[in-house]
Amino acid sequence: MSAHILVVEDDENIARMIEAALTIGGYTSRICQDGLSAVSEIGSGKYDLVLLDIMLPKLDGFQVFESKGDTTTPVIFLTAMGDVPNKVKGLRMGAEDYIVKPFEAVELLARIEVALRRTHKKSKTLGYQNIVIETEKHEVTLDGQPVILTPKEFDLLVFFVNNIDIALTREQLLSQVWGYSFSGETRTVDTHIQQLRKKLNLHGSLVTIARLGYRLESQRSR
Amino acid sequence: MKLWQKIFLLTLTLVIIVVNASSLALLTNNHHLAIEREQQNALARHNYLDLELRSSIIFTQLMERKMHLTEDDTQRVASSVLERQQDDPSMRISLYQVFPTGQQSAEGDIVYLRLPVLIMSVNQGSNASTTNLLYEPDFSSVIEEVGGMTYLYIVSTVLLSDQHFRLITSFDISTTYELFRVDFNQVRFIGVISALIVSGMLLLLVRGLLSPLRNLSGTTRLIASGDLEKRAKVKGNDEVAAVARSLNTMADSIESNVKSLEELAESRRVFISNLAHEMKTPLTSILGFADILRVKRDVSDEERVEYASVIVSETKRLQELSGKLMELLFVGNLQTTPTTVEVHEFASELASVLKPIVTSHSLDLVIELPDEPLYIKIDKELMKSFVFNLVNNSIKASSPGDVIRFIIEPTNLSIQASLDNAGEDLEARGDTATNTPLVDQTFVGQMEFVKITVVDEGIGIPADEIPLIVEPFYMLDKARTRKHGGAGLGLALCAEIAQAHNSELVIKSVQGRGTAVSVLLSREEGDG
Repeated sequence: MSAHILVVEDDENIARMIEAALTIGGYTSRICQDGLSAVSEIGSGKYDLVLLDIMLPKLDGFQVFESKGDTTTPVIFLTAMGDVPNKVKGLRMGAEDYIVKPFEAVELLARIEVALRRTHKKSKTLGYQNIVIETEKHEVTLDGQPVILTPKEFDLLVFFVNNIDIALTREQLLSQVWGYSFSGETRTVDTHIQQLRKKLNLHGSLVTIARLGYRLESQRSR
Repeated sequence: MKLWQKIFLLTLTLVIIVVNASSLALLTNNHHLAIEREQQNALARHNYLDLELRSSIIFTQLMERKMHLTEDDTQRVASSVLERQQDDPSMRISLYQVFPTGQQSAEGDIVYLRLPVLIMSVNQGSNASTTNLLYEPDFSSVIEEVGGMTYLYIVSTVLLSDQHFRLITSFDISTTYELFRVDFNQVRFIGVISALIVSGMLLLLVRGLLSPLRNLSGTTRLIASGDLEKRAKVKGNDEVAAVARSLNTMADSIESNVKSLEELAESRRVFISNLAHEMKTPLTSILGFADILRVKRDVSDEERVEYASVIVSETKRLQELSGKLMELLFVGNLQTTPTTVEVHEFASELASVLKPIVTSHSLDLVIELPDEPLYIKIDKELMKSFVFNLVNNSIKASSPGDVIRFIIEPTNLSIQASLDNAGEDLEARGDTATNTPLVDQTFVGQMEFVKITVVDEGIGIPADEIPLIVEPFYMLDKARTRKHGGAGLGLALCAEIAQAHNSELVIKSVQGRGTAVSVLLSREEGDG
């Protein structure tokens, strides 16, 4: 299920940060610091996704995108330029997404997850301990027995399984699962979490993190 | 009320008054002359009648060989004379016998002994109230209006055979008055017509003369509403043209001011957008690593140290950026406090700071100073920052083993005095013919300067980028600059500092050979 991602970013510290975030998400990555080498790396076809900075030495991100040719590798632009014309330009060129710096690690992972799923690079079947999730069919089984989940409970479960061992704030959950960008209504999150715990017997592994949110842990608490 | 309305109404009123008054005066004068003529005419006929009366009496006296005629005879002769006048209806006659006392009343009226007796009246018709005229002095003419008719009366005393008679003749002069009335009405009518014509012409004339003014106000409104490239048409040499010219001059200066403001705003905008970018880069690392530290379940000690040190170093970068920004703001906004400084002292203060930094990068610092003492007037802290920033740039450009030289030297320049002023003079004189030759305006002489230079043997600057490198946030090599914690503000700061000292940066560079950046400061007389 892990994907190989090319990070094109000239600022060393940002590149290291992205690499660390990708590692948490279970992705492998390679860093490339300028536009010219990025073009040849993308051409090699070894990558499932490209994170492409726009302000690059030698060739800028848009030029890299244009010269990468017909390769179907999805590209997410990363840039400090948050203005609308650039955003539109990037998306119109055929980029999967556009992330404005600065960004949080979880947001980056969520966007990558969406982009990969959209291009079918992501496995359709997810597993967590004794739970199997069929993302296409919207079916969940616990020890082989089907469990009935509401659509929001299902999305929430998928989001947790994709971000194992990462603490997720209620705000992040609201914005990624419900699509709200404001931070009210956090009670909704709490009730859905309780439903998930009850239906799938996650009392020990879907833990509450004080003053932060929730985390789905890879092993039952030590 | 608008100007054209004022001019129009005032002129029209004036014209009407003058025309009517003068025609009325002329008319009245003519009328008086006509009446005078009538009077003379009447007087002549009156006198003729008078003469005829007297000659008839004398004739009768001669015929009848009497020295004295009786009262009845006299009245009979007179009556017969007057009767002959009946054929001429234009003259009406009354003859009274009077008995004067030879005295006059206090008012000047004649006083009679007893009431006058009407002897005869001819053509008098219904109105015979002429008795009041008996008391008028001789040969006075009286004009009276009776029943819509105007009459002229002539009165005289006639002595006929030692008897006093009063002869009153009257003439109808109604036509003269009628004529005057007709003329008067005609003048009024013509006056109204001519006033209409004059007002029409005046309207066209005033509007025509004021139309440039209207155009001017239209242009002014356009300029005011933001069409700054609009100019008024200057036609002729009148007052309006003068106003148009001044308006154009004003518009020129407004346009250039607005342009320079727009340029300023644009450079501010670029500055802020660059600043935002420069801030976002370290913020991305900081936020990213901080978030990872927050959300990751198991963070090894090794990872924690790595992430935290990136956060610290990026935070320092932000700190440096904000420090540089404050410095830029300080140089740009605050008055410098210049003091007279001796260059050897200045250099030694700097050397103690610069030496360790330069040597820590495996570079050599060489300081070259003049033999004799030199004085310059500078803001010491700013100038230190200036040299420090230049040396810092040189360090970034150099590779280990290179030499950085910090040079202070006196230099003489033949200068065309106050180049800026000369330029302004040229502009100011622009269109007016130059009477004085240009040479008189420029003063050629020697000026003594002190030149401060930092020279390195680093990578140099491509020739086409030299004008750009003083722009804030401009970086020759982003990765290289970033590695040294720079934000591209150093040279911008140096340029500001040079400007604060009324000078500017001189940058000379050969790619691959090195760069020399210098500033010229005016030399001061030492105070001892």
